[in-house]
Amino acid sequence: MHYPLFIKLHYLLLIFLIGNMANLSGQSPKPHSPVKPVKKEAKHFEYSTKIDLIIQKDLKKNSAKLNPPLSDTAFLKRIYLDTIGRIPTYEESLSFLDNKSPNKRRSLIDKLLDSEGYVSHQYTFWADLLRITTTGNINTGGDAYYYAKWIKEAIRSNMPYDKIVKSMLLAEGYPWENGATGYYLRDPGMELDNASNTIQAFLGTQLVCAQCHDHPFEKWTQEEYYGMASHTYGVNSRMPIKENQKLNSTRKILQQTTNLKKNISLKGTVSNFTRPLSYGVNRTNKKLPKPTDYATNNKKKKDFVVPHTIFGKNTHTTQDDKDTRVESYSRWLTSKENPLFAKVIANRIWAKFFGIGIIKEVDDIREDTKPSNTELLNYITRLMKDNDFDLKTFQRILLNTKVYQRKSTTNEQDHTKPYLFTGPILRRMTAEQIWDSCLTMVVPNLDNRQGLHFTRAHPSQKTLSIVEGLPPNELAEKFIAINKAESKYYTKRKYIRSELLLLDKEQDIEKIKALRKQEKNAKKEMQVTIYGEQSKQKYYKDKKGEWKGLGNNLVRASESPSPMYPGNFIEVFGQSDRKIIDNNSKKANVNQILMRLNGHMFNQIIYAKTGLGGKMRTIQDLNELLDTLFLGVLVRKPTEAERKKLLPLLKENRGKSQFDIFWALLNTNQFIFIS
Amino acid sequence: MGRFHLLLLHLPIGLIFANVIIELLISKNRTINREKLLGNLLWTWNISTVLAALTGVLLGNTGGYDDNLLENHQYTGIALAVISWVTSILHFVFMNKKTNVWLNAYRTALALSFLLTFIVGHLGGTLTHGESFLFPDEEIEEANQFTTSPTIIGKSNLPPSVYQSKIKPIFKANCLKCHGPSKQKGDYRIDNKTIAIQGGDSGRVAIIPGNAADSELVKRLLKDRPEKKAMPPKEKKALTKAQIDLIIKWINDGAKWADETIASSPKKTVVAVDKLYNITKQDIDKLSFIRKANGIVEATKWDIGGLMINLKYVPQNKFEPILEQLLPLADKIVWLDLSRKQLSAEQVKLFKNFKNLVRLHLSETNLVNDDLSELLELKKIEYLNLNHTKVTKNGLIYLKPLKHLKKIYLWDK
Amino acid sequence: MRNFNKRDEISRRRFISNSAKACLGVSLLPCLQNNSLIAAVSESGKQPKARNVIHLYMAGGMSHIDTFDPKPGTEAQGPVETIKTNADGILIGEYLPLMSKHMDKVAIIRSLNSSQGAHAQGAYFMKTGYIKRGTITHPGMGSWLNKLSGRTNSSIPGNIRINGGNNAPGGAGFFEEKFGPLTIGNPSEGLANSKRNKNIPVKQFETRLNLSEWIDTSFHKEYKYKEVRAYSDAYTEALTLMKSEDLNAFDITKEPKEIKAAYGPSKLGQGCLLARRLIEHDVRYVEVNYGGWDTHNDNFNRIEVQCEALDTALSTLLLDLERRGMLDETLVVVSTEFGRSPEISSDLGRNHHPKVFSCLLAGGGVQGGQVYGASDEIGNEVAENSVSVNDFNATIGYALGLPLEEIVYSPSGRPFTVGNKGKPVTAIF
Repeated sequence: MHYPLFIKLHYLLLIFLIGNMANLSGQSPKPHSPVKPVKKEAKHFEYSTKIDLIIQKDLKKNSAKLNPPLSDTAFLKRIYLDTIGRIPTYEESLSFLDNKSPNKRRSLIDKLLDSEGYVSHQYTFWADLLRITTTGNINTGGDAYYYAKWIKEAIRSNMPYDKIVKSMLLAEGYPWENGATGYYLRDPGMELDNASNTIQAFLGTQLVCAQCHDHPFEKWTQEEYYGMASHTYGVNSRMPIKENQKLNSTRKILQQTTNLKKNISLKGTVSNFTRPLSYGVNRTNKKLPKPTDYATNNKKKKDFVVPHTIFGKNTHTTQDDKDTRVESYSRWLTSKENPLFAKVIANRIWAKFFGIGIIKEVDDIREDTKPSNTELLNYITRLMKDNDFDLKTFQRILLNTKVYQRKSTTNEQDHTKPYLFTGPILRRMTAEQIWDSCLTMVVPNLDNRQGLHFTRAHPSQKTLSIVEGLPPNELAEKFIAINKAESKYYTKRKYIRSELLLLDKEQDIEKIKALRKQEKNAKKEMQVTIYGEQSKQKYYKDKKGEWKGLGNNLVRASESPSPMYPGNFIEVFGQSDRKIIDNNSKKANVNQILMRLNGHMFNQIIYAKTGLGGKMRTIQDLNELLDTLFLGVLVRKPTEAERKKLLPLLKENRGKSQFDIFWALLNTNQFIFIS
Repeated sequence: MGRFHLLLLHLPIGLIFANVIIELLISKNRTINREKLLGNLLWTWNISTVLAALTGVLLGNTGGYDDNLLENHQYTGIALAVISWVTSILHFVFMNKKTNVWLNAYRTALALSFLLTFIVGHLGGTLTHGESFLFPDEEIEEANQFTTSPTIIGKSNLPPSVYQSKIKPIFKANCLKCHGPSKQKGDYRIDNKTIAIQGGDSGRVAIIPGNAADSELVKRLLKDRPEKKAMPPKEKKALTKAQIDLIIKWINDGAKWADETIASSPKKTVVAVDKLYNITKQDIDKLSFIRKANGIVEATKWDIGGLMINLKYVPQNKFEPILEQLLPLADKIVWLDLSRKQLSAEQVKLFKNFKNLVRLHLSETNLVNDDLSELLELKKIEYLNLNHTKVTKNGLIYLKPLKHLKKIYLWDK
Repeated sequence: MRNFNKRDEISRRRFISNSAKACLGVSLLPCLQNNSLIAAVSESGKQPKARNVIHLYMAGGMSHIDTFDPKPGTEAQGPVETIKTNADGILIGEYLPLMSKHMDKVAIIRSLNSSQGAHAQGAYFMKTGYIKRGTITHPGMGSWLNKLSGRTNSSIPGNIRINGGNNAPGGAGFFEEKFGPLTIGNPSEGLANSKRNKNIPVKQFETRLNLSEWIDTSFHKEYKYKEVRAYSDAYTEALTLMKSEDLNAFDITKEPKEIKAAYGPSKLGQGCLLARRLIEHDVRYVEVNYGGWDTHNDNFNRIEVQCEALDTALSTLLLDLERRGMLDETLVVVSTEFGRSPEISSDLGRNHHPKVFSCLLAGGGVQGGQVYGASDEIGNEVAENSVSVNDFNATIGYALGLPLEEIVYSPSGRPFTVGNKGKPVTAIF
């Protein structure tokens, strides 16, 4: 009866061994599977034209006109940011600008959609939508290591949108077996919240209020919400670890020898080491009872909700079968007949490119919501369906429209009126785009640089190998040994930290150093006791020297753990905290400015010997130097006025002025806006 | 199942009309064929009537309808079903016996059924569409015309007193019972200006001054009466067109409460007109030189009243003349912050003019013990901050006569 | 309960000697006794007079039963004992021994209740007074204060968030960004990047800035968006800040070691110390965040650790503010998004419980040593004087003298008020 878990354990061990073999040899990370290219069909351009026609019609009706056409340089900046999430390098810009082909914009779009950078940029879109949290603890929905990898792979293989959503809703098992389980693991023990998020993310409707009471401004009742939520209520984000015989006998031994139940610290050690086994997605027969009013606190839980959907066809399922209720729900949700599923994603992507949705509130669609252009919304929804939720093709169509390739609207939009799509609106880059664009100027071959966080094996594999490798009696002894080592370390650390607090940062530098070293050694000692003398983990070393001297953290935002801690560059510029769907911010704050004025990042860029800084040093001609800096940072050539003012400065004192100009360009506002 | 009622009920209505028409128009020559056709129609009719009645009972059980109305509708409906059978049977008998007695009996029953159909139909209509569906009264009819094209009336320059004289009485008579002091349905009350404007649970703005068309209040006043969101709700008396018109005008005029004007943007400083010291806006304006010097002037907002003046961040060079400039308003100042200032002997002597001071901050100043003797005139002072000064506890002896002084701070690093 | 207040008529000589004793009686900050003196004569005025706020926000949902609303003798109480405090009849959890000596300064509201049972939504509601919606972002109390009342010290921002992210709820909302909080990730490290790079002389720094502004001229002329203006404003603000004499307010290394130790080593303690320094320099609103309260499992061990940090930090903060004459004008608030359930789960944890929970208010005219409102006998529901989240926000607004009735319109023309129509709890002042 308990075999399945053990089979899974063996499977895990196998994976771990294979993973480790690769790791031990210190090789470079495995190259990705190739990015699946976008379908290159001529009819896509007809669709683009149709979109333009619909918009032209609407503009005519409102006696408005499209914005002026976009220059090649402005197009270049925008298309790079919208497809691969960073500005082009100096070289990439040149190769496009020098290209004389009349179809060069089309071919650039295709090239970018097929590049690795596309995966990186799309990942951020998904991570914000799905609140993917790779930092933190899996216990509270963090540590989504396998989930992040799964999403990236889905983007890379251009998995259709409906299939992605379905795979997540239907996921089961351990995360290392199926990364899509991360969808449920994001909200452990919070089935109702998970259900609200599902509805908000994929159907653009907010039901979270109805979780506790009837929706105050919409027609949804609490009962209707419960009917929706009951479909996935049985999906548990914990594995039945209590049925694991081996762990149980180990516990029994420990109870006899050390009175485990009273020994809180040892209990902690045991659960820390066995915890990874409890995180996985497991369908159960748990039924959702009818809502009891928050106020009445009715404890009788005999009445169960009948699953039903709030719009579209019903699922006609019951809570009795743990599988069919999830399956029928995932079919209903991702169906082409679902009135909102395709519409919401089409509108989201539109909003991403134009800075504003055809329905402004991309995930708060209500009964009385009016799209600013109904025909347009219906048309792109149809495109989404007709192309079978192929997001890449859909993006190709939008990016090739005339209206997209227009200047951003220069006057601020009136929030009280529907936006006429005369072109995109002015957008600030996202935090991730700013970070990635900065790195573009320093790190060569940026898109292919992988982050350590994701190339390393997941830490739980280490602890699981111990649990798996020993028979119960030895495992019991091991736990006792580990516990001793841990206690010793924590006592030492506590002492050291209290000492550190009393020391003066400036006067007692030596003492502080010594204490820090002591702490480090104590930690190492503990680790040796637990895992044995380990060959120092060999991180990937760049043999070609392409990235020599560039810190491990200088990888694209998608390759870094996220969300970043407060005060980090990406966080300061408004990265989503991944607590709420699409919670990123593009607002100004003083911390950002201080970071731009005095922070490490910009200094690193202008004084770097690689990337744009390196290029700058090799150029003799001052005119060319100016072009290079402007193109490399602002993705445009200097104007005549700029040339006239800046050239004399370079002539007078190039050594100083080139850095001043470089710095000044980085501190302009136009650098972080997409116009 | 019950939902089919809404579909089925139309069948018997159509059929009885057909019967009656045949009966009335072509009753002269009663041929066998015609009687057979009539018989078939009658039987279809009575079966459909029964089905409609059955589904009606099912639908009624699902709840959500006005109980009284529902009961009436149900009984008359069932009666109609029974009479429809009786009618059909009478017709059948007449076909066999062919006597006038049976014919008249049948016709009476048919007429009765016809009448009953109207009654049942009206009751049912009221049940689903609301009271005034079939016989709307005139005023509401007119109001409904608004809904299709909301008239936006420009400024009509109503007198400022219109709220007191006209609007308030309308609200009082029609709204206050549910949206007033005793009850706040939907978390909305119309007698409190803030809430009246902000709106309640719906999250929509109830009154947008100057824009009646987008104001939720107006939208609801103009809604079709049976609709859920219409106000007042269908059980209550509706507003007349004239009343609604007036409210629209009033909102378009800026929705002025009494004779005040609603600000279109937040005011930076709110000047509370204060009873004790009678602070006026002019007083605050007179002190604008302090703001220019990076100081703060505010009317205190609580019971103590008076002015709060903070000169802590006024640079020393700009500070020099300020204390003297304050003298004309010295009586009104209750809260004074002179921290970080170097005070000359002359300036210290000015303290006695600030007779109503309650709180005085003198931290990080150059004050010494003997200077405290200049504070004796400050009879109302409660709080004195002398942190980071040269004052020691020996100096506090000077302060003994100050009966209201509650807290003195003498902190130094 | 308030013996202290009865000494209205006291001779001037006695008050001086009494106050000296009062100083000696408090041995928390021994270093402070030598050269310092405070004198207290009688009760302070019974009116709110807060200028500034220090808001200690306990993220994750602080258990009310294990801290400020214990239920001794019931099953709900669990293993945490209760202790008496220096305020008559007020009991608190045993893990707050230092606070038990300062409850005379604090008013507990034990009947707070929220409608939001999830962290992000709950925190949003507490900090803004509005329920989170997809269509608008509401400003936090610090932004309201700065918008409606302005700064005292114009050279440093009037709204500062410690230990919190830039993207957390309670920011500028629909107000201009300049009213939103400046964030400090780590209080011990102060304000990151606030000093000019040493290798760049002032003159060169200015040259660079001028160049940058000049290159942007046509962009600024072309795009008159408020988002772009906000960046220009932020540059002005940042440069003023860099030059400010009060920049050292951000540097807690300037504090004596003993004071740093008295606040405790936690990020909350160090954050409170930084908050006090900032308030001393007249920052109007300082929010100090401290997480770790989401005790779904192992509640009782974890609450002990959490309380140790809170107990040390809060008691020292109150004492420190009082000694410097700042408590009168500084409202100290301790709040959280919701409480925790009276039921104890099989993992020895407590789950989210928005139906009733507690918060603390001190200083700024708040009458200490009192409890307002009550939960039922097991801390499950409100038993008397319900205080909604809106009331809670309105109370802070009231203490600061903000106009609660004044309507402020968002850029999209929607009307809002401080505290969202809540009724201030005036009884605690």
